[in-house]
Amino acid sequence: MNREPIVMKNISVKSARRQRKWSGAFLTPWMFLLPSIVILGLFLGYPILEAFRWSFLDYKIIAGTGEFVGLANFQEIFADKYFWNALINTILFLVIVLPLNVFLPMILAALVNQKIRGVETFRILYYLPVITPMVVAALMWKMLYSQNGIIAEILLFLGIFDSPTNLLVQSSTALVAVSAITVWKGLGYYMIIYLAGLQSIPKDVYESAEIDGASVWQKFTKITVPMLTPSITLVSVMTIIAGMKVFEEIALTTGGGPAGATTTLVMYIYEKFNSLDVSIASAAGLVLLVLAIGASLLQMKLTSKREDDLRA
Amino acid sequence: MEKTVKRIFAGSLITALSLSMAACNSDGANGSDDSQEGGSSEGLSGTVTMWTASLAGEPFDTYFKDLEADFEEMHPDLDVVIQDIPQNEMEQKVLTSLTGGDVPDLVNLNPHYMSNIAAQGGLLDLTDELSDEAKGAYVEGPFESGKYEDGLYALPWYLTTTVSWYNGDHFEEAGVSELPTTTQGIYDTAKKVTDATGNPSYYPVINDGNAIMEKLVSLSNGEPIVEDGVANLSGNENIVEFFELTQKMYEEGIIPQETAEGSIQTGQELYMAGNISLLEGGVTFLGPIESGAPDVFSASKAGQPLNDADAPVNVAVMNFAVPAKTQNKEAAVALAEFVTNAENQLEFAKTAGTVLPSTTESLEDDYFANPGDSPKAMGMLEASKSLGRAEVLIPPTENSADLRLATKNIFTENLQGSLSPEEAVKQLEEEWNAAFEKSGEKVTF
Repeated sequence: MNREPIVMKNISVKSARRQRKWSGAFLTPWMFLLPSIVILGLFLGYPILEAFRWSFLDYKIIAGTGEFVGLANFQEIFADKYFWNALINTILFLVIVLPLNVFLPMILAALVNQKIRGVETFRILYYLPVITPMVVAALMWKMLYSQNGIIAEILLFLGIFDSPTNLLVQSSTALVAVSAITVWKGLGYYMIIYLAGLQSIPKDVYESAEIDGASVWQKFTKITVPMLTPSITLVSVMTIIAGMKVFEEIALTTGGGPAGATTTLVMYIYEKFNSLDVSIASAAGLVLLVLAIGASLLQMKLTSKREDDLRA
Repeated sequence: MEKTVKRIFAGSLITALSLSMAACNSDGANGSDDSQEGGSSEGLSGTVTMWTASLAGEPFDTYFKDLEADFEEMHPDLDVVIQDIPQNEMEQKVLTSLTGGDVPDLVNLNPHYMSNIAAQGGLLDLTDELSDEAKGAYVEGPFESGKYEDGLYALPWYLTTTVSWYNGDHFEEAGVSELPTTTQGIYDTAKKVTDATGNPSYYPVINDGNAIMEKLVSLSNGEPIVEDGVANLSGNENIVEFFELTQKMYEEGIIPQETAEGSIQTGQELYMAGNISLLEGGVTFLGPIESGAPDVFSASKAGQPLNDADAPVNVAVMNFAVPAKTQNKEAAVALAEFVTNAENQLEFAKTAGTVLPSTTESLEDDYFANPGDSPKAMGMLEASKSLGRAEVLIPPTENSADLRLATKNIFTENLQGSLSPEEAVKQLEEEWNAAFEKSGEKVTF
């Protein structure tokens, strides 16, 4: 049977493709994503774009107008010693909090992962700071740190200070004192992340190690820590992002003082915004955004390299 | 011709009689009240919203309810809505409303934030909205605090002036019977009290730097510390002495470490716990102490600020401003005048028990000469005594945030010994001058 070859015109091929593109299978995932896209666009994308615009203007927020000033706002913040002080404090805060947030919850998680009686109580107790409102936590820590408080008494007893000293109001110790509150507050949350990671490690790996005569320490350092690398990555990135935008505990305990010793970038932005210097605040906000993205990417790159090494 | 003369005479007589009757009516009522009755109040209608700051609960609820009813009775077509906003949320709330569309018609602000908003065109210039009579009803200093550049952006409402508060029992224990009037006197007195009680005794309030700036002006006693936008602090012996002695007191444990945190609230907590004995603040200082520590409250005594008897003292003003976006300008201005008139201010001061009115007429009331003998009343008496030399010591400026930040940080660094007093004063002077240069303001204070 002789049949004529069917020749389809290009145009009909195109329209067939387009038809396929707009078919239900193509649209369904986008429909699911649409609410998130709209919400993110409205509450995340738009404010960032607006801040970007304001940072290049001398923006009068009440009048809703601003003259284009190019990079003048960035020049102003980079020439401001209070901005550099805030940036250094933010970095110092991260340097203190990051290792503590990575390792302390890991140790706690390893401890509460044991099959011993009453361990659930400890899990709840360690999680309590997470659900304690920051206002309550800040008031409690202010009392603990006060000149007549228990921490001052302990430090005096240990001979670290000659007289009762309130760590929160000394320029040299205030940042460390606030960092301790942050670590205390996040301990339970990060512990849960590590606990989930720990419970996904196959038991036979530990059993094999035990047969080979590995000690508890060796099992922790050679099995637990490497197998927790994805959790470590997650905790690190979360800590970096949270540390970069730390605000509540500082505002409620030291207000950025004494003498700017605990003024972080977000505090700096908040103060500028409060005095209606919104363009300066926006420019500083963009610097913070770039730093947070940069630090997170660097951290993810470093830890993914470690994951690759482990796989190799 | 005769008839015409008679008509003119009768007409003139009727006009004169009408005018005098109108004048009699005015005399019988409150002066500033009348200005709106006869002027802008005609035909007021719609809704007028007023925001107060942290004045919720009794006795204020009843006071504002009556005030609202009185004003609505005067203007039957007008609906007054009074909303209370917590003081610490006020600035954000005002900013949000001004950048959005849902603005109040009248808002209770402090002069510094008022000037920030006025600088961006967010407030209505009231200069031409008020009669001269209404303008003249207020005490001059507080009235001036509502001005920014060439405009009048707020009417003064209630005031608090600085007084000194001390624990009479601690002073008795230390054998001190008089309050100091110099910085050296503060050191001597506070040292005696600390030696007697074993606790720090003096708490210089820093707040956001503003309280220290005001203290510097008082210490300078009439000699400007800033002239045409140029600061001269290092040439002022009293200021240098203040930096020297506060550093010494901190080092010797006479000033508590918590001072570095700066707030009056921390001072209140320490005072309530008996851990300090002397500080300067407004009459509202004793409010939480009365319920929180009744023993300390009953031992509390008030006195004049710790400066020379004729040195200027600060008056803190709460005022009313009308946002430029108001939908009911006439009603907002009329309500602002009504709330701040002599009669209503006197009633408010009596209701609050810890504030002073800002109209001259209400201050002449016997209540302020004989307020009673409770510690709070003694504070009121001292506050009203110093009102004659009270003024807004730091005028509203565009660069006020920079000035306050520098003052707070440098004073604390001096207190904790990171800077020598001379270095601190010099650095403060430089930072103030840099801030004035940046904003181009040529103020004198």
